[in-house]
Amino acid sequence: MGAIITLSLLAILLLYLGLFKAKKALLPVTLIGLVLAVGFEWYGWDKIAEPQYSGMVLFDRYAIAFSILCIFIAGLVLSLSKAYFKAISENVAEYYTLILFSLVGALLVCSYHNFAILFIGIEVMSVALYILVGIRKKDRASNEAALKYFLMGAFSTGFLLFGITLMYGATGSFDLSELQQYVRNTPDHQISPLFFGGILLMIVGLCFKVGAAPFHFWTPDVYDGSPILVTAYMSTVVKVASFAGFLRLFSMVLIPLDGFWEPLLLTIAIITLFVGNISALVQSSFKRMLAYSSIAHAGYMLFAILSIGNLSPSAILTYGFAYSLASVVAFAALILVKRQIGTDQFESFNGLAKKNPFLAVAITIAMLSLAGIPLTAGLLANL
Amino acid sequence: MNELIWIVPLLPLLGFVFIGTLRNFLPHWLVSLIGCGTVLAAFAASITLFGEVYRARMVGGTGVMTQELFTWISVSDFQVSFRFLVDPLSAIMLLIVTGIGFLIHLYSTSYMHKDPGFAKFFSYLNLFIFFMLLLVLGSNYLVMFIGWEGVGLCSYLLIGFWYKNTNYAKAAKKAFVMNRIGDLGFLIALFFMIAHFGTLEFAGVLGQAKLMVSGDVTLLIITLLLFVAATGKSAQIPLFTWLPDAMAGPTPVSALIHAATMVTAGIYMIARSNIMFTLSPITMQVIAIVGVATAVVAAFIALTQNDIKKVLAYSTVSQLGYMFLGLGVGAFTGAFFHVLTHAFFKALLFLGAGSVIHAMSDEQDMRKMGGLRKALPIAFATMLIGTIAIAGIPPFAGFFSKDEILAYAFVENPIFWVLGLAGALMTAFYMFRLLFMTFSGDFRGTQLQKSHLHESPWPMTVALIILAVLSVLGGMLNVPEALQGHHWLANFLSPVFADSAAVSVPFHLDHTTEYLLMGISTVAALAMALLAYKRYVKSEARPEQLTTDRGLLYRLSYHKLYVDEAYAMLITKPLNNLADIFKKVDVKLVDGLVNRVGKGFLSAGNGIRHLQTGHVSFYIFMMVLGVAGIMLYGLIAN
Amino acid sequence: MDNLFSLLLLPLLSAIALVFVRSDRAKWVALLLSLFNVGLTLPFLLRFDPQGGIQFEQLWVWMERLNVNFHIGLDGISLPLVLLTNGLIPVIIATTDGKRFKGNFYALVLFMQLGLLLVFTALDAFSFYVGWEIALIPIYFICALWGSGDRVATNLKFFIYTFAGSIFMLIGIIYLYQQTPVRSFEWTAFTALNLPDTAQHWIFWAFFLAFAIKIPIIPFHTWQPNTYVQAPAAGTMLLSGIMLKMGIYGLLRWLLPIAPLGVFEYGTLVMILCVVGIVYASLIAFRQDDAKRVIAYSSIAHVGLIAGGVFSLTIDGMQGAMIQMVNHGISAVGLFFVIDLIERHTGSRSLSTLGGLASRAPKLAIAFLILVMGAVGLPLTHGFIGEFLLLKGLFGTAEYGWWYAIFGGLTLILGAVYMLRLFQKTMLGELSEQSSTIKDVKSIDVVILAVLVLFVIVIGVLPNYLLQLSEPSIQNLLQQISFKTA
Repeated sequence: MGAIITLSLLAILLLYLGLFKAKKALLPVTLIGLVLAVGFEWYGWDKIAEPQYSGMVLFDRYAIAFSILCIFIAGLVLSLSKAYFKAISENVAEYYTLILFSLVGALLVCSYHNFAILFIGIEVMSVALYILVGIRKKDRASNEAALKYFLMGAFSTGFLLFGITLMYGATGSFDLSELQQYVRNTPDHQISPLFFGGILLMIVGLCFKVGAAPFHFWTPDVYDGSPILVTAYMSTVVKVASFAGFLRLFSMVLIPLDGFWEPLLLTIAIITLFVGNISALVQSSFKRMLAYSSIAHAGYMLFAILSIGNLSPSAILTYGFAYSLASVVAFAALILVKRQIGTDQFESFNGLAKKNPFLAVAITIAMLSLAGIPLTAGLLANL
Repeated sequence: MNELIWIVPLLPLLGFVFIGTLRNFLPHWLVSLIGCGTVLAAFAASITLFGEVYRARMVGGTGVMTQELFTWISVSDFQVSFRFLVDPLSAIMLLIVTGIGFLIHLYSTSYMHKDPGFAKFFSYLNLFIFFMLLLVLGSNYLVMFIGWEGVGLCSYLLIGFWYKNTNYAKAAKKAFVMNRIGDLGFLIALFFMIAHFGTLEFAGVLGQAKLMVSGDVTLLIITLLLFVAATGKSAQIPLFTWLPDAMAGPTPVSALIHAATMVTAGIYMIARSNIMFTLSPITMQVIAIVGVATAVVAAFIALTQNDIKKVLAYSTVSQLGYMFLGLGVGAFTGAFFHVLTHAFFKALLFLGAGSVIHAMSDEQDMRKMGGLRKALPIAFATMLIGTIAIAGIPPFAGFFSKDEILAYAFVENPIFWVLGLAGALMTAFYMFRLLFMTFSGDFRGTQLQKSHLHESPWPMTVALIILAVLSVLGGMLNVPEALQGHHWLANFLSPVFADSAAVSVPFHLDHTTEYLLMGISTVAALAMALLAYKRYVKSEARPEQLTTDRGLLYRLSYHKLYVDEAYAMLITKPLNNLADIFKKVDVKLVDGLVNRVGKGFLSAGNGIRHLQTGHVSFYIFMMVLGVAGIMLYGLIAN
Repeated sequence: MDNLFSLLLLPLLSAIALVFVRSDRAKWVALLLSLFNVGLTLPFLLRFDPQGGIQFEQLWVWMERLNVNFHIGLDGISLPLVLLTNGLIPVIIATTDGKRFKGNFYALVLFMQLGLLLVFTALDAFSFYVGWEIALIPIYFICALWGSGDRVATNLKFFIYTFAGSIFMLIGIIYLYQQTPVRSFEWTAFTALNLPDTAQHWIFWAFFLAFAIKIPIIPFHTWQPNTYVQAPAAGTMLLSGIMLKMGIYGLLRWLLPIAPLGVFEYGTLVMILCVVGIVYASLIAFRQDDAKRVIAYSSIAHVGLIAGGVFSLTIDGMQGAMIQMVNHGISAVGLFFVIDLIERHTGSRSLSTLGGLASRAPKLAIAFLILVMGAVGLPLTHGFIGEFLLLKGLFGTAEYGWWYAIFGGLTLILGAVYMLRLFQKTMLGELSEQSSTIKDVKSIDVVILAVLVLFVIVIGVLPNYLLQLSEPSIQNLLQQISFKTA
């Protein structure tokens, strides 16, 4: 809880800093705040985890690990953003603030123990993003992306909410522990059809958030239209947090019903992999290629949920870490290349090895990692 | 003594390594000394070995000595050793290989004197002797196979010795490849032997084979495969065409490899494995038929060839055919006897031809020769002896060996005898034709050649004279009883062929018939010599006249029955066409398929990309479809 | 230095160090470092006990939670390949043109050595897979950066093709991992599994595809000729001399003991592919004009025979495969080196423009001839031992053995045809115009060729030492298979 409070306060502090034109202090302060938040999280590592605040949140090791990962990645994205945001926007402080608010949402999603918090977390995370996507006010693509994201997001939130409602209707509770009891104690054939409906709708909602097919359509357009670093943030932190939430629901509550949802998720995972990989092949824009590759990776991570077991969390965690790192490196490289050459088409990468060998090596490693090549940690996660 | 067997092959190997590595630094005389010296030393060692065997035979022993050097290949319970075997058969072969080998080395010191590749030549010759000795000495089929393929390599190197001539290089390749066809047969035969007998040692294989019944299928397969190998190495139908082409090599090579030693390896191998063949009557029939067919066909082709070496080459093929005929009718001693005498007189003839070619400034076309008798008296005299010997006129060497084969053939099937006699007649004719075209009449070459005519230097003439003496006396080794002889060779070799003798009907021909057969063949050979004399000396045929006779048979003979052309059309061309088809298939079909799979993914990607229209309404429509699908699933699943 | 990790560590450190060597001396530094690794290898060879099963085992926990370990060790199957790798890398480095290549090139070569060694020593499927992919990356860059012709597209195809193959293997590995009682990637755990028929059948294909593409067995070979031709000579040597052995090794180490039922089910099909491949590739080699392409196709024919020997499931075939892997490595490096030398001097590899080189470069011609004879399997050269045992193995195959031996044996004839054609068209005949710039080999090149030629003959005369290294392990493997299928 300390981390969430710290980050919320930090966001507000940053707004004030922006007000007082202390732009130079923005990044250091943010980073200090993030380190502090990690510290709070770390502090809770060895404590016995109990649902807190009337069972609203649960800071177990699972939540802490994913939270730290989210904070770390966000920190990474922010450190890269110093020069970038100055170039595209006047309101740098707002940008920091919004990312931090979104991060708070992500942490909530990682540590929810009650559907209410899940919903709030997702909304907090998303609302900040709606704005971030459109933060380049004069850029039509950016605006269009924001609008699209908002429309589709709203649509899918509806499904999620509907799903939660149906589950509530079946069980009379938003609490994960109680849901767990319900599933365990009710014989399979007596479980209410409402509950099954709820599962399906929640799958729809979560699939939208992680960008799994056929709910991925927003991803390429939005990723393409957003400022690069926002894309980086969305394709990493948001995705990891969504998966953490996804996995918690399935591993805590829905395991006994795996006969019901497994075929469905498997189909979705395969379609996602197919669409992601195949479409990535034919892209000529680096950024768009990354967008599709992130869809494909969502497919891989779905497999971890499918083969649910003791190792699933660590698999997703490792995968998330490796994938996020590689993505951030790739996006950072993209920024550099774009600044030097002015386009993100593949041709601009020709001859990079000669002009800037280290950048080339970094991109290569990142690409290989994204392609699932080992040593670069990606492989491990492919399990 | 038997622990010294390894020295025999080692000597020429050392010669090869020494000359080979230092070939650019050694003077000619030293190369000659090392090249000849090592072989002479090996000959001396062979004589000692032979003496040992001889003594053992005299006191009634089998005369078998073995020596194991080391285990060569060992996998699981299969083991092959580098192991040598000296018995009466290999002892005689040793003498032939090293003895004639030495004479030819000696001859070459002179013959190759001006060649820039002098040292290279001697290193190859020494290497050849090494491999030939392995072939002869091996105590199992695999060591024999080393020699078998090794001599093929040397043959390749020496045929293509003057490698700058593309045709020579091609001839070398042809020889190697055709030999390899046979070698595959050999190898597969080895596998059958291993599978059946569990060993490749002669003693083990043959010892078990002799217990099998006649007509056993495994033996039939093994012997047929071995015979395939023999047809390659010993130039029998259908694999004989490489030998005439092999005349591209220097003449001493033709004498050593392509007449006296390597090409007889097939006969040696079959003689060595005789019991397996004796127990496979079908194979024996096949061998006899192929042998006699080769003898006749090659003799027929030799009738009209104008290149002096080509005539001798076809003559070799034909004589090898006789040897196989001998093997096929069970005259193992006779066949081996013919190997021996043939080695003498054919080496002699080739070396004599070499002297002629040497004198004629590398001219090989007999139409441009003539009247060389005066300029080359020794060459003439020795070649005359060789010719009489090969024509089968008593009391020279060829008569006895050929007669023995024909006598066995007569007993087996008179048709073989008739065909064999026809071949012998043609042999007498073409050999005397060669002699007369070369040495009689007037000189038909250029003035320049005429001014260079000279008798060969001493190393060449010495070799000729020794071989001539052997050609005269060689027949005495195995004089038949009908002529008051004692069959010395047959007695000496009897342990080698004892198993075969035990299971086959003893050879029997009453003396009257034998005299009759001998008389017919002798008279016929003399008649043919006379015919050649009439045609090429008496009528004083001019070179242009020599080629005017253009009957159908003449054309067939002159064009070598169009066998090369037939092979080109039936085998080489289809194979090349197939290769071209495969080449296209590989690029277009197999690789095309791979590429198509790749392209398939790309086009699928393009298809999916078109779904990404950019319209939110369409996206939502797709999402709703998705949701509907999921709900439908929910309904069905529950 | 009796820690097996030192063998892997040295190439890695060397590779890192070489990145920073920018002078012309990079070649010599790399050569020295790789020779040092040869020195490190020797103690293992000397102390190796063929009967001792897996030895010099080293285990370093990598990811404890997932039970992933760097687990390496040597047995009779891996040791010859480790020797081959460590022996050939210095040779390959020595053959390169020191003026053309800088430190980064040699760094990639040594990095590749690391991957190869990891593949050959790994006793943990995860380490194996890591090595498998590590080896792919440097060779991709070697070929893409220093190659010629349409190298980017060719290499991309090579990369994607082999990578796609390995994905199937990865799926197989993950599946096997989940089947193990205590989740583990250990080789021992994988081979102890007793999978049902159907599982073994698909596992067979998952592994086989990866290996078959790498080897390559037809019809998965089409990446190979183009890649060989367009790669720089050293790259071709790495690919054909060492890398393709990864596939064969994979068959022996992983596929056979894990999915013997799959091998029984599809063995005949694979054997037919191998044997057909021998004839098919040989015939195509007849009609090539590019010397490198001739050897590329001959390579397909040769490895087809090797793979056939493995699938014959006989001691002879497998022992033949073991020794022939070493032999083929030596031959391939030697032959490609000769062709590279010719190309360096004359600027051409085209058989129609070359000719008569022997008159100007007799030493080169002799070395080439001996290598050619080794490749066509003349007795007393190494090639004979391999071909003899392999064909004996094919002959001994439970079903259709004769046919395999006869068709496989055609390589004896066809091989002679295309190799002698290659020799004749380059070395023999009149000196052609294109060839007139040839110079004979000298200094270090002579040494390299002499060493290779020496091995050609020494292995041919004394093969037993190598055979004995691997025999107990192969026997063991065969027992394992028969036990699992009984």
